[in-house]
Amino acid sequence: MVINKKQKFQLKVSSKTENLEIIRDFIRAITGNIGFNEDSREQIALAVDEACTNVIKHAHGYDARRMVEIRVELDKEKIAITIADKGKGFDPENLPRPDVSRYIHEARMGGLGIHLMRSLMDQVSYEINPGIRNKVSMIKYLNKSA
Amino acid sequence: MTFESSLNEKGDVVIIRCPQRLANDTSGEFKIFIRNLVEAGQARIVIDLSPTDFVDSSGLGAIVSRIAASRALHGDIRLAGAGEFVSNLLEITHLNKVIKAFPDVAAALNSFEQP
Repeated sequence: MVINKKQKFQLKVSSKTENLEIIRDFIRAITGNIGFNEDSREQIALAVDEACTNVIKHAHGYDARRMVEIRVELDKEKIAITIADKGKGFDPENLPRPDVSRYIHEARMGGLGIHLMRSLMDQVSYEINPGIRNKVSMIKYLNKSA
Repeated sequence: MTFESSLNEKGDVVIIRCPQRLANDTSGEFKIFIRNLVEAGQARIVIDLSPTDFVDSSGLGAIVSRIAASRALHGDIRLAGAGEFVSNLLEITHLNKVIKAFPDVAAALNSFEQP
């Protein structure tokens, strides 16, 4: 499918891990016919899954009354995804870089989700306003996915 | 959730069949399953990833969570049959540098026989 005009999609679901599959399917459906290969589609779905998991766990503390909002914009060059919440914010820049040797010795993997998001997408940025509106924005370009 | 597991012919390596999805909804139980094996003294483990087409960060965490404990018991946790998506994740996260991965279960089992 050739995209001549910008296309927009939006999904708003309650903040619970059971909805992660719906979120991944939403992303897979959008990326299905625009030129991303199968691996890239799964990588985008995983990056969005990790971002939403952070919202559900850390921003909302598993409070299913809260909502997670995913907005997607497509054009002929890229997919841009924004995940927004009104929960507790955090400063991703303060997170330590993943150290796999330490992970193995401490038997825990904190910070890996954000590392995955940064590695799987071409751009990741944050706007943090705790209690008002936190936003993570991610971009993946079509011509880098082959 | 229960996980399918079996012993090799010699009875000294447990092969765990990883579920199709190792993510938030399954990784906690998978981690406990591995922990219980290692705490029971079963330190040689092969995780068969051939059925697995989706892993998230919690799944990766579950896979590596008991590597140090198994090695302390002179065993190891090794991977077999990872598909392209999972292999890419192991590479991106550099976990491929600290966990041994093999094309299939037979090769992973054979690696335990090497000195």
